[in-house]
Amino acid sequence: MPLIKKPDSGTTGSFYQDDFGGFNPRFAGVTIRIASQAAYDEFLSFLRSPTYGGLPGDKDESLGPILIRSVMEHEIRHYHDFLLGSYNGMLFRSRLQAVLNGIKALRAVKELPGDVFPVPLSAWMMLSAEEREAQLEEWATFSINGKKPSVIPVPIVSKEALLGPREPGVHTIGDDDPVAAFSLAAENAAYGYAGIQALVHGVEDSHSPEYRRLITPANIQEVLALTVQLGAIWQAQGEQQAHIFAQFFLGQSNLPSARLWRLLLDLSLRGTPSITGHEDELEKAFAASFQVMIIGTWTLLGSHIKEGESASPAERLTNLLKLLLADPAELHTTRNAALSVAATWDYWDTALGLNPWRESLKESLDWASRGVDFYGQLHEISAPGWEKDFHATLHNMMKAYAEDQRVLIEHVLEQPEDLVGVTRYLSLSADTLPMPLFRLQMDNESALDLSALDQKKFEPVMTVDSEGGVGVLSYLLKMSLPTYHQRAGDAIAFEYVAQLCDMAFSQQESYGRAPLLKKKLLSDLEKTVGKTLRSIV
Amino acid sequence: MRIRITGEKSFIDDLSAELAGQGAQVEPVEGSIDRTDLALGLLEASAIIAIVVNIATLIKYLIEIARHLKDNERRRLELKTAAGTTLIDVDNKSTPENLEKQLSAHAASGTAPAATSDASDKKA
Repeated sequence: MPLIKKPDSGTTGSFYQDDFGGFNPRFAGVTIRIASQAAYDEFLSFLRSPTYGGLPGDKDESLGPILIRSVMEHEIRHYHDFLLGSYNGMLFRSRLQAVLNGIKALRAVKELPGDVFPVPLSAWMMLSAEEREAQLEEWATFSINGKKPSVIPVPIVSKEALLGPREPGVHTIGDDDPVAAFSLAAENAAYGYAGIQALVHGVEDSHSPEYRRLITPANIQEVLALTVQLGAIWQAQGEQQAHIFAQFFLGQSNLPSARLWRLLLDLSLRGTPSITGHEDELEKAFAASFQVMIIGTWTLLGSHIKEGESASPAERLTNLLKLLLADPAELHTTRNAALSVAATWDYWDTALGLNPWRESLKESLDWASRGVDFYGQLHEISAPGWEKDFHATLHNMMKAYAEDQRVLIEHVLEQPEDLVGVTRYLSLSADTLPMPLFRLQMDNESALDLSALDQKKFEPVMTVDSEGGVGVLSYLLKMSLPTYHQRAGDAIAFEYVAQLCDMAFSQQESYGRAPLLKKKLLSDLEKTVGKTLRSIV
Repeated sequence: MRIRITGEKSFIDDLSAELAGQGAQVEPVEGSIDRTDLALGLLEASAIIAIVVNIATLIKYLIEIARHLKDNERRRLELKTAAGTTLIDVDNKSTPENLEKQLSAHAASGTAPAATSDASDKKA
């Protein structure tokens, strides 16, 4: 790979990129994606101008720069919603469990007989003996000698078993039985991944096809983040930029999150006397912003512990929409200025017979506290070595999550309006709510020359050796938090292991992300297991 | 040969129709995109599995769809076979030779596979 001094999409001056950032419970922070020289320059210029003095001012421009200058507000909101909801808490904890077992399984593979490691392992697990035979035939066509490869021993587990309830049990496995040790850890990891998939898709599957792709937890959280982002663009960049943003997401885009945003806007504005129907997208968005935020935030306040699947944001939104649409008078609850945010949420909880939102939030805090205890004990009883070190990372991650969650939830219990009113939310001082780690990731076939990285601002995270130097694939924005170094180290260590486990076990993939990073991880996975990887398609 | 193709939804829809129109078998893939990812993206991703005789056949159909893209319009596709995963960019200037080179790692036995870090054949 030739070292590219600076990120460049290959088109001079081009700002084309289709993905600006993201949040995933694999990384306890947010990711900003940089896909071109112009995007890199724009983001750096934005960072160096905290008072917005370096922004271009209210003017007509293309969407890309507007997005890169407001991506932080969008992603910070994702982090706050991640801490708030029990749905996201379940995803986070399921991931911790999957990775806890997944890495144990991967490190046991080298000792196993066989030359090939099937990817993803959970898909191979669910294949019957006949299906495995057919897969071996296909793999034979890719081998140099045309022979069927010899695969590591993996137990057969049905999909129903993976998704079904599990009997708790104590298993004693001798150190001299690598096959049994691998099988147990691999099965446990596969159960964890099946749990994540059930959380993400379970409720989705129960919807009519029309809404299946629209009302999902991810799309609901996107609507919240987009609404905040629109407010941030208006405040920091200008009215024209806000128009361009609103025009794209509320006028042109066919993205499911954009369609859901439109649906919620239309619902919120139904029967509003001051709405003439001739307003443009921006006016509508502002007119409905509070209603959209109060609805969207409420969908995150369920209790998975008490309510199971019905605590999913998708299920809650579906039921709330039914309530609001059944009686037009109900719509006014979202617009009634005299009714506080807390009272509105109380009213909906009662009307739908749900766990009161305050109780749900307090239960989330208790559950996180039990999680801290669990990972602390796990660390204590681990034998010294890589496993103890990794368990320390998990324990630290859980502590950091629980602490940030406590700060956020205590604030929401006191001032729920601060999370619902966009202007209030954006005006909160930086130390009011917890701040996530920020990581920048190079997209396309690009890497930043290490010597060109401003190491006062950034800390390199993942690098690749290249012709003529070292290329940086991802780097962290340094923060002044006293716990920054500990948190950053743990988050990066966990994400690396989680990515290896995801590649090895999960059937769900991130699409089109940082190809150099993906290649490096695949190469690392192959080294970890000491076998040839073969994919199930 | 089974090939999973992930890309922007409208492009995948067009490719799927083209493949089906030419008699190739196409299977929709539900649940293959990581929906725990909250991406500030401008495109919707979608995936299909195409069952084709070889990579060259797929390339023929890709070129057919890509030539309808506007100038400076580019689509990123992720192609996965048993041998690994490759990310390619296609536009209306993509040629069969160029795509063949990018996808050489997915050639089944009988053709010489190119070594890449993510599609290794060296140990089989």
